[in-house]
Amino acid sequence: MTEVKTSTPGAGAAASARRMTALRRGYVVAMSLLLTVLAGNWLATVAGQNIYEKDEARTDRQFVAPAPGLSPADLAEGQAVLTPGEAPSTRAQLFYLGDSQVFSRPDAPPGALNSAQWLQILLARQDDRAVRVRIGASPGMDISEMLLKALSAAEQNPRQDDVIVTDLALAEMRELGVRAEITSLAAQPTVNSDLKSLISSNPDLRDADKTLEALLTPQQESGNPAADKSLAEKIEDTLQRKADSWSFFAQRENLVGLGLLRYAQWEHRLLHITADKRIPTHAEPYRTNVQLLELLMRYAQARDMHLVLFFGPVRSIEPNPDDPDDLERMHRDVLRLCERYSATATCLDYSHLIPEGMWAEYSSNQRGAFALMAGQHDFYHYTEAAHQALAEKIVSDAGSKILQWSNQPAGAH
Amino acid sequence: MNLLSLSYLLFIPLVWVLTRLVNSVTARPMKARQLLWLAASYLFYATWSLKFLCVLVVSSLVNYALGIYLKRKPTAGRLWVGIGFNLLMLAVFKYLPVWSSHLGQGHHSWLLENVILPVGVSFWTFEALSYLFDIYREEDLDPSLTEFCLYMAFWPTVLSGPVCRMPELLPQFRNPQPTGDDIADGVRRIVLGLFMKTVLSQILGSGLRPGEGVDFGFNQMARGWTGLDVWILAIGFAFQMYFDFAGYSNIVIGTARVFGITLRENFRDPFLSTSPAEFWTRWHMSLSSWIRDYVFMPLATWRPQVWWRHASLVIAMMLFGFWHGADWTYIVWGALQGLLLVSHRQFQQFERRSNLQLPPIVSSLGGWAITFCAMLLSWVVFRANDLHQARLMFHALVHFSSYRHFVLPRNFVLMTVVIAVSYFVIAGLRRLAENMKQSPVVLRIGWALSPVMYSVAVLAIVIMSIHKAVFVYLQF
Repeated sequence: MTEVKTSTPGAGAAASARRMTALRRGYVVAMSLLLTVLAGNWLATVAGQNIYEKDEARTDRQFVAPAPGLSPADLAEGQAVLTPGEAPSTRAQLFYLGDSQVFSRPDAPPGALNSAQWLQILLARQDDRAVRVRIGASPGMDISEMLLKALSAAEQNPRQDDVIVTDLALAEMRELGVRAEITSLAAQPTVNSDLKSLISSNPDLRDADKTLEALLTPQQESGNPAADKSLAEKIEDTLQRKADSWSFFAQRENLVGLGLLRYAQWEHRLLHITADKRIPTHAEPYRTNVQLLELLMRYAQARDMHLVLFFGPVRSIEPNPDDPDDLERMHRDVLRLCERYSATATCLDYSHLIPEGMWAEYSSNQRGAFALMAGQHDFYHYTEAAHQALAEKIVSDAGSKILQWSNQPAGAH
Repeated sequence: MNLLSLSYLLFIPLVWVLTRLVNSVTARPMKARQLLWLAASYLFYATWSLKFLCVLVVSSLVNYALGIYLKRKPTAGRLWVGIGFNLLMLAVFKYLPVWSSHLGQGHHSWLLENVILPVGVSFWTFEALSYLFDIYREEDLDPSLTEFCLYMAFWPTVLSGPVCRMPELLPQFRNPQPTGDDIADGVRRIVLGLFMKTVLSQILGSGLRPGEGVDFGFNQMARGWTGLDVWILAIGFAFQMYFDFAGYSNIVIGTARVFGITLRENFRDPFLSTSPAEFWTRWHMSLSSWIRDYVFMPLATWRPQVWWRHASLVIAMMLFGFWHGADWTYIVWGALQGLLLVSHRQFQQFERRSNLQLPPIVSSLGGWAITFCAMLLSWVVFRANDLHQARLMFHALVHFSSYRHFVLPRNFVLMTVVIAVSYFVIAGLRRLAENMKQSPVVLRIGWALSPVMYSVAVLAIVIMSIHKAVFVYLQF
């Protein structure tokens, strides 16, 4: 029998082809696994280095360094803004919104104060039991994100916000889009119900409603508390946690961030994007952001909250990314709203507050996307001295009002 | 259990190993294997909801009984009983919740508020209907109750098809023989499907950054699109849908293939079609052929006149649209598809009558360009949140002054163009490779490079898996 098998040429060729196919398949499986593991580990290491830098930057911002002119009580007030803990319900809550300007002090050493901390210190010097400032700013925040953060902050604390202070920059009015971590705030039941009631009670602000409606859908899917999870979901969670033991899997989020940064680098190079390149402000997102701002004013009005809006400082050199006509339009529209909601909103114009010498320049020492523009003018961030100047101006213009409001707590607590 | 979850990726090998075990250990492997697969299917479906499973089991039992009833005496009356039951199922579970929401708060009864929409109900109800039609046509079908329940609940297809037919699946359920080629091809298609959905569809749908992507363009922009924006959104949505549903189909077909079951194909390079008629033989093929066989053909043969044939086409496509949901956008989209098909037929007749002979390259390229653009425009209606939005978008399209700039983010525009162009380049390269398939050099290069491609795809899938994507077609 063996002889017959080996002597059949067709059978031999078929067996050899089968062996070859099996070998090739083995090669593909083994090489694919090997390459995936090797490349995955390498990517995880790269992402790990990046996250180390991010952590370092975050740590820099998490403490207050002693400085001339600051008393121990000032340092304590400044520190409390960064690590608020359980805010005393006896103090009025001041929610400080804004974008990366709030955090960025490229000239300053670690532990330097930002405008929100200066505001806390300056107000506490007048009355050390009146106000607690909390930061709600995020880099690149637009008005829909501000609104969500305001709604969420109003519910999270022992008492709702009494005062919201925020800058208004043209950059915040140009784009629409809520990042995932802020969208997830809409999953909180109270925020969710506030959003729904805002939408239903303000049908005239159709564009703003549309933007907020889009935030309601995903939260219902992702907002299940752990206790409500089915067995299948719990099994999936466990598997995901197990998978995180492979560093590549655990670093997915950082890898996405890193990928976007590299993409931006290429984009800047290929399209010759510079910091002073004029950025158009399109009618649609702008109009929606104005409506969202009006919605924020109506929300504050309904809750007896106070809003202090200031036009963020603008660097007055040319070429400039902000079109003067767009800036003028924004001032006109916001002032019109402030007039309409004058009982709630106070508008301040700090466009020309910061002199040229207090503005920052991009340097190669900066991290992330900022390093892409090393050597260019920074049109959005200023020095530590400017932060102090800004806070002093807010206190001088609205400090007495804020302290007065702190004696008349807002809404039903 | 989502097809994009780790649980599902573990579920497949687990059931596969159990199948091998059952095949080698039990005395009646066919029966045991079918029971195992049915249990796996019910378990899979129950992870979505036990209530969904109850509806599916009831529908399976009733349809099996209806099949026996019809087989005894295949009359039109008995068939209509079966059709009526399944349409009632769809009306109650798919359309009633939508209609009741339109009635307003005051009209809600307890029953309406508690009606559930079982995922995949329109897919497995159509499978049940095709079974009844086949019995009525006296096809030789003799499934056992287990086989019929498995046909309805088969876990790879239960969520969103492909819409299967009993004559194709029954012999395979009885004698599946997975070969090495099946397993290799199945795994390849699962990886490809995951890549299409998790990476490509995700980038187009949600964009690289917040405030980008098709969903943003349709959901958060209430108005203000320029003509260029609408074209980009149409291209973006067409490819998002393609990568989403073709990706899903690849995962499903790949899964079944690993078990030795060959399912119907659902997509075959639809954007290369040179006519609307060809498009519908390449896009969601399992459903479009279902509509052709069980809706259009019976309708068209009802009256001999040409106008009726055309009307049947429009009616069939409107029903196709309505199948997606009780929304005017879907119905208008279906009507547009019907009109496109009728126009194409008219043009063919005109070509024949006038003896018009266009050069093949002109005919192909012209046909492709017109079909591609017409399909893109019809997707705008399909995706729009309501007809008012569709009207505003079409208004922008015909307003030539609005073609001066984009409002959509530059990144999204760039990504859409890159992905769309890459699709056509890869489709061209694939055709070239198919022509050279027998060349040993090409074969060796293919083998040598495939680990690199697999590993790049897997790494990209893992990285993008943080986005917790959901298949678009699950809502239908």
